[in-house]
Amino acid sequence: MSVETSKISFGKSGLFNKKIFNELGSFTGLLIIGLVFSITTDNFFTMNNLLTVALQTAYICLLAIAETYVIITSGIDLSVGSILAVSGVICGKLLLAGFGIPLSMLVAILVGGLCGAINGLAISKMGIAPFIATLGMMSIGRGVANVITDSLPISGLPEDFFFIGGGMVLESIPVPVIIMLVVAILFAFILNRTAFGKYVFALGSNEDAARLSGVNIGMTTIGVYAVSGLLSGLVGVMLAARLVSAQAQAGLGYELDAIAASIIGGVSPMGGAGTILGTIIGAFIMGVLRNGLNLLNVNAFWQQIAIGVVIIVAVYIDKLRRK
Amino acid sequence: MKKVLSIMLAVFMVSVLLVGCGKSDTAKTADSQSADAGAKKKIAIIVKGTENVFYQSVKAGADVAAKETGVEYYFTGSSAGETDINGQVSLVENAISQKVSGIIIAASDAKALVPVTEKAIAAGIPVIVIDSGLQTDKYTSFLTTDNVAAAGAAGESLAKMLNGKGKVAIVNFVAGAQGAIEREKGFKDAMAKYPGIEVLQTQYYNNDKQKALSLTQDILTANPDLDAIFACNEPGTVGVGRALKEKNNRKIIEIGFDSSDDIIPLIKDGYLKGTIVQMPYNMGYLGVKAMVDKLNGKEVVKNQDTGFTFVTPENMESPESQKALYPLGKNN
Repeated sequence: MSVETSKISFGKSGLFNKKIFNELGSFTGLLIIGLVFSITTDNFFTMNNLLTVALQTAYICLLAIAETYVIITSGIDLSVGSILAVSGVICGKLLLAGFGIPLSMLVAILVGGLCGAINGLAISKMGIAPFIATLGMMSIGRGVANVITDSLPISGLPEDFFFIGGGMVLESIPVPVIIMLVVAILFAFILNRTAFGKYVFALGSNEDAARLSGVNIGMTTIGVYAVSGLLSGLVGVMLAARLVSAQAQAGLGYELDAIAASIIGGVSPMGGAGTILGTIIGAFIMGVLRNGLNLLNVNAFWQQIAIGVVIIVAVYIDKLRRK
Repeated sequence: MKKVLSIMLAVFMVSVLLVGCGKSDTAKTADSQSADAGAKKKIAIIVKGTENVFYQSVKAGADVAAKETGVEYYFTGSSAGETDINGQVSLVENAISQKVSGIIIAASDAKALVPVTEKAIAAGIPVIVIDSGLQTDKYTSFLTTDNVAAAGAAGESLAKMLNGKGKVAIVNFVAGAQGAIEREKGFKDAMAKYPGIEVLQTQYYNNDKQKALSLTQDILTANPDLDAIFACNEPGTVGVGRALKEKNNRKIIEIGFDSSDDIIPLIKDGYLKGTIVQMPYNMGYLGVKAMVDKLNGKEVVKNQDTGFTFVTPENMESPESQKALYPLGKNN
């Protein structure tokens, strides 16, 4: 990645910016998919179903935002699905021990952040490749969640807890969708308007140049993976809330959905480029596709094929556009 | 440095030893009249996880059978849980070197446990398999739930609730797993007897409760005229039930498979209209009985169905349902 590209990326990629044109491609794709399902099914384009899609996609969206930060630094985080399971079961155990909903959630999310920070430490201080470090954490996290629960569901949680994972505001807007929007705006702001955000892009564009310009590579790396861990922890808590029961098996394989959503949304797998808005569109392309294919009652195996094809086509279109 | 290393090595070895032994507790029976004179028969019961309620119920059944027949047994499983296949292999090896009279096993892996169990059989120790199958035919007997029959019975009950007509969806845990295939087949065979019932394309949730929940929402949106959903195991039954609860939808008839602390409230609240509950107690009880018969030289049936109970909101307070839902009593 040339220095020139990194200059372009600095401070200009984000939720609302001049490079909105870049998102136009994937957004058009989303609209086309939506249009096709609106015509082919009776129930796709209804308020009820669109809110359901938003609710189903909110969780993957949050994980994809985490993944966006990591991939912009030219890293990858394979442990988000396992970290969310750890946070979920810790939250469940604390709730059963009577610590109350806010405190249990806070501690669980912080534990997620801690797991992420450990990833960052392993990558920056021990010099382990992100793929390997987070692969290790993926196994460790899943193991910890299984050990804590003996791989049994943690049930009997307070029914009030449900609000965070599936409650409604104004009788129709799901709480996870609101959380997703707030987090998206916050993290787009951090990415575009703060020094930390600039370091994230600098790290992914050209690590040596960034180091020479005085960017603290170690702290930035730890920070990025800690952010990823915190968001995974948040999702873990929300998923446990949705079922009012925490599972050690929660989030199995979600890291792949999150990575796919970021890539479809135009985050460069080489690092240095990506936007939160693009990622959200990417997540919704996957969410709408799954929902629409379910509504069409398409065979589950064909759905897997369709999603794989969309990932490859989306990335190819993105590549063509960038040339 | 050498000293530190050797201490670390020693600690490591001891801990491996401890882990390898797992949790075990020995139940001794006072009654020795029916046992042979001289050495008392000792059976090893090796399960996937000793803390698991399912296997605790196996143990409760084994306890009663051991008292009735006057044998001794010890109950063990890898402390690292169901996925620790090597741990379970070591436990079988331990049983062989202890020269137990017989081994009853719920195998963590259908293939990986074959060599060590065949080694036990070659050493003259009969092996009885419970709960999950083992890919060999050298064992004495296999006691488990007949999935096809159980799912078929669930289908028959649903057909009655629907008066023989309606639209039914099936959500299954994972494509290609033996249990998943058997349960789907049993249910579909029952549905096929009723020409008025339409069965939708099977969808899979990969054992993920969240996916089962999302899938249910989509199925309900796509089929506003849907009448019933059959979920093939615990995660699916919970996911479908939670989706119905989110919409406060008691019109859809949910039929499930398995029971858990997450499932029981769904029956109570009327979202789950019936669920197949397996009988692990019978696996323990009948397993020990079969082993004693074998050791006494009697003929033992190769395959034995341990049965099930179909629990509905109407019958859930009956003694039979209560025993199925709370095999260890309500405090457990």
